[in-house]
Amino acid sequence: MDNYSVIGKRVNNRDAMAKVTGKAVYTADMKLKGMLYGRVLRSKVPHAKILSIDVSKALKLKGVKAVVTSEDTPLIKYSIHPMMADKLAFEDKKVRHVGDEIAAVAAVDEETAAKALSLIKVELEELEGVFDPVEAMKEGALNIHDHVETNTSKHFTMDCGDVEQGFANSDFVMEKTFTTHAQSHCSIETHVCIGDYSLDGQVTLWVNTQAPHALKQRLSAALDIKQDNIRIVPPYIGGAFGAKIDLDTTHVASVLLSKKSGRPVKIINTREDQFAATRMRHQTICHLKFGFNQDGTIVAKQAKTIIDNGAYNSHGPSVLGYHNVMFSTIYRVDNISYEGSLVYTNKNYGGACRGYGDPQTTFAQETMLDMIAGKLEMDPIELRMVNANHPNEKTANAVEITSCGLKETLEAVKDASNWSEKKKTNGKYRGLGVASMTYTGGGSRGSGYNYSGATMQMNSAGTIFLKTGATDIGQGSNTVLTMIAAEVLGIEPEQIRLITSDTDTTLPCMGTFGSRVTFCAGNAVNEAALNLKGKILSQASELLGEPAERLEMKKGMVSVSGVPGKGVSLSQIGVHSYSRNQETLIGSGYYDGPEISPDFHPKSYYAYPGPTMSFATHLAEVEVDPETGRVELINFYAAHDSGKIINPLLAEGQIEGGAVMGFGWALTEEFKFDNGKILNPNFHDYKIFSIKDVPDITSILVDTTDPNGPFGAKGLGECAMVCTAPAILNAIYDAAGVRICDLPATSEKVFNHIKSQ
Amino acid sequence: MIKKYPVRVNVNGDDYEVQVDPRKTLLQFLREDLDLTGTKEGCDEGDCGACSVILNNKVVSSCLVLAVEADNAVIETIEGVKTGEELHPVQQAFVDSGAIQCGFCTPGMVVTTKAMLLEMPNPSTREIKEYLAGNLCRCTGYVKILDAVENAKEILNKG
Amino acid sequence: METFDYIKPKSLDDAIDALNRYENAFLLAGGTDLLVGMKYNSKKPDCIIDIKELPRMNTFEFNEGWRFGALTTVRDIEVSDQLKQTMPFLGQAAQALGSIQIRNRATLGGNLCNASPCANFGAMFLAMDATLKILSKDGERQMPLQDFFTGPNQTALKKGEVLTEIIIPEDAGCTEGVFLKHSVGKSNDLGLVAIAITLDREPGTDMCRKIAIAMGAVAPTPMRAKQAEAVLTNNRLTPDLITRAAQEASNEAVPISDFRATADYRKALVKAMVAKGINTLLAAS
Repeated sequence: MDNYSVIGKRVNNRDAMAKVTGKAVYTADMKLKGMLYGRVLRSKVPHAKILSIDVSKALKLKGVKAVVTSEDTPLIKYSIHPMMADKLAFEDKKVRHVGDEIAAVAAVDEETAAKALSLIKVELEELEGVFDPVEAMKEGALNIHDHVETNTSKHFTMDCGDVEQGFANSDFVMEKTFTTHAQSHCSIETHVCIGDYSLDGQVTLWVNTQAPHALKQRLSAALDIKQDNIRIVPPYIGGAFGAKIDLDTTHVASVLLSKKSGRPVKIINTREDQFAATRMRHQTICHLKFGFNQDGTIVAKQAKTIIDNGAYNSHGPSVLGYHNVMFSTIYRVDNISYEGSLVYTNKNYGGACRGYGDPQTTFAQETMLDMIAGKLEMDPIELRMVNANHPNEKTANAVEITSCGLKETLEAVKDASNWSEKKKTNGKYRGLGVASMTYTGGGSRGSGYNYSGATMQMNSAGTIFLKTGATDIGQGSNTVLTMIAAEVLGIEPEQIRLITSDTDTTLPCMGTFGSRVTFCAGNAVNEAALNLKGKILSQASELLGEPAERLEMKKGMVSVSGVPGKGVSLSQIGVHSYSRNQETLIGSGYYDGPEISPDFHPKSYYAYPGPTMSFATHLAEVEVDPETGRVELINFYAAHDSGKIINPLLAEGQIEGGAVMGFGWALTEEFKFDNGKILNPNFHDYKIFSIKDVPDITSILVDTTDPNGPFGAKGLGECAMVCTAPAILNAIYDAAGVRICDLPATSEKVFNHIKSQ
Repeated sequence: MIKKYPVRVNVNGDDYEVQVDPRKTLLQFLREDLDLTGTKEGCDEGDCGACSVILNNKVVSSCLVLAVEADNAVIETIEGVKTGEELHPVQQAFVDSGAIQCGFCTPGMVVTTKAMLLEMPNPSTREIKEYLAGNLCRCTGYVKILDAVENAKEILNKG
Repeated sequence: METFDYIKPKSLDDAIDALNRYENAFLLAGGTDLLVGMKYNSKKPDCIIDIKELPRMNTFEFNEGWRFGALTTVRDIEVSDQLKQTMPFLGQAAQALGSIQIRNRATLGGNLCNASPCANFGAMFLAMDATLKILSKDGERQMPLQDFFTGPNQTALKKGEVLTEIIIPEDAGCTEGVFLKHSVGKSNDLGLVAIAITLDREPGTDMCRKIAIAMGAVAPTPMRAKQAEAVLTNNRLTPDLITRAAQEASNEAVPISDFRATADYRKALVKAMVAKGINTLLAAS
């Protein structure tokens, strides 16, 4: 039994007060002196050559202070993957999707900016659009980009063991194709930024970014401005889910418009912009072939995947890699083969979206497992137990598994849901389904880096500061990180004065994505706190006349172990250190791990350098109405292995939020594309779950401890929606006997499947 | 010159008088003219509830109300929910129940919850879900929001 | 958005006068449809006439039939105890519209005059044989709701006319009723199909004296399923007959296929929902 003061407690989110009173300032709430309002001109056609852009009329409109096009940029292409950079902030030669950026204006108010946009004359020569990745891959298909020979932006194969031999040795072989659809992040706050380019060349960007330090690098590269001259400051962020990682044209636009006009420029995305012109989850087509034995052992598995990139690379190359890693890492299978292609199409392009390829690959694999269980007449939970990963093993694709509670999560949902009993007694059209997953619990070093830095200080008054680049996007990292520091220093988390994200005042953190903050930033904070603690104890040791080893930090004091009443306060130590010894009290920590194996394959992500893996199992109970196809969620159970849970209140929040986002992806959310145009860029036609749609959700946090995480913790944020959809669709199969292999399972689709039974 | 119209309005107990462009929504008016930025814009077409305010005792989406329509109205926004030094029980319940993550939907949720409990002090779970159905949240999955509302209801009915 | 004049008339005459004076004036009631239209530039008023303060138009009463003022809010319908006792299906139609924020502003008149093919009260009042009272500078006229919808978002209102009241005749035969909507999610949703049924039976039996089945979102306007009604009128509501009637209603529906749903699916929903609606009423008694 752990004996922590703070770790493991249900501590309230430290930002909740500011948010619940309306005082928390988000980017759109900011108003700077002389601020202008910017708007971006986006293409209305999916594929065209740009013949000319005439901004003269827009410039003449009263109230317009600046207009920018590609001519105002150094024409440097960028991408999250610099080696695969394919996007200009403003396209100069070609637009490649509806929403592709052409120009931007800044004016004294929104209305004038909007009017100015309509006065920009763009002459386009429309080209045929390619919308289907399978078509786009074919010989002779129209090339969307000039820097690659075909529309296949990335392709790789990975082979472990011998799948052909494996299939030959299997009792059974099964094949199926699965397709998954796009998803919009739908954070309630849209993209917003305010760019300020001062006369002396200093650039400040207030922006709701998940990755301020990385954004600084990217902005610097794209605009050819020294990093030394850039400051990124994120105010409070209204949700992100991966949408707010990339360098966006609005960032470049606001900075350049500010440069031209001499005034700060705010750009706010409308909800329509958000749906139609910001990133989305990648669509996938995945053909699986599994070889398995009568006893449930999976002998060999093969995946052939096509990922619809959309018009530009963004995170596509790594999403494809993750699609492979998460396919290959779960379950103990020796023979694995994977082939993946990332294909350009003339559609709004995919980016990082909660789960990063894992929901897509897990939907395919977990449905296949359900089909295997059916074939073998084996309990689906039992089937997964047979194949489940064990702790401290290396997988066939050379991933190191440290802690692993997969089996515990399977047991947990089985018990909580009364699975065995309900499986026997559930009536017709009522069913249960289960699905499991794995995902990194601490980001990865796939790009070469996985860094987070933190500094801690105590001043002469005994006040403790924590400064870290890690950004809270709503998940509660501000609370978790101060809890870690507080545990080390024996104080209350609320006592710690926290500064995050501002690139001027914090050590770099790669960003809030890949479920990495608790693990990576947590490790950095832990190290910084221990570092500071050492210095505090050293000073205290002088004051108390006791060796540091006999001292402990508890309840805001430094005292002698086992000697009640003998101690000093932090403020006494502060005075002693600064005034007496002229010694500052600063500790720092930096994490960038794990070691990258020499076997690491940067394209396929074989030997994926993730520091730890988290696991989970979701279980859904549904009722299907055969007359309408409507799927009603009755109960939902989610059991997660994320190591030692620093704050269960916040962890449950992630599970519940992720599950509901998964419900939407499984059942009601759907982009309607028509020749590259999105027909439903709004909340009334793109349906996310409301409070009325949500069933009872039981969150279970199983008890494991990771050897490498801070206090044994692992990440959770994305795990929460990775296996949700297949759990629901497996439940639909159990309820209505229909196997749906293409998401989403809308009521019309379910109805049609039932009808054709 | 755009013809402007007078908007004489009481917001959170304070009187204001502003000449307003008729095209301005109440949401824009609150955020831009009165600097009350607690009320948020999530969609600008009445689908998400982030802009909820209480207008003459009824909760409405302020993005679908013209500022000029609010002439002579009494309005309460998130900034007016807390009176004095303590949080309103609804706010405290949201904090204590873990119902706040990114916080962007929170002002709308709190205002709508307050309006609901004034109108029906003892709603069933079904009624709570019905009342909050127009307030979207992407972070929490609503589970702890429901907890918060149930807790607030208990507290308000006791005290 | 171009600017517009904003007028808040104190009398109906002033409102009608303004409607006639301006080229493209719009009446502003709840604004939940009008403002969206203006933001999307599908509606470009040169004048907005805010009629919310017009007297005696935002209440309802029983007086030789039910009389609903056109400015009655959807929320008032939803919470009315009087209606819960007498016509709870009106409350169902109200609750299925938008969200509480919308219902606090949206009005019966606005819902009808916006004339969406899936207007909740279009279908509901159609199933209640409603008559509309319309005022212009030439005086008052009445029109059956049946004749009011002329196309998607189009009504028979002429320039200078104002819908003032919705009247349900005493003999409308609405002893029981039900409103059902199938939509993607459970809240604030456009309906893929809406069904409104009112029924009058021989007391204590399944003998149908009069039935009205109205459908929304399956035609250019809300419509009645007359063939389906004929199958059931003056007959016992047996399972076979209900199934036949539901099929008839499905045949009468002429939905389009759009990105929300196919025509075939909408027809299937009609069949399922008409049967479900009638069976719900039988089960309740």
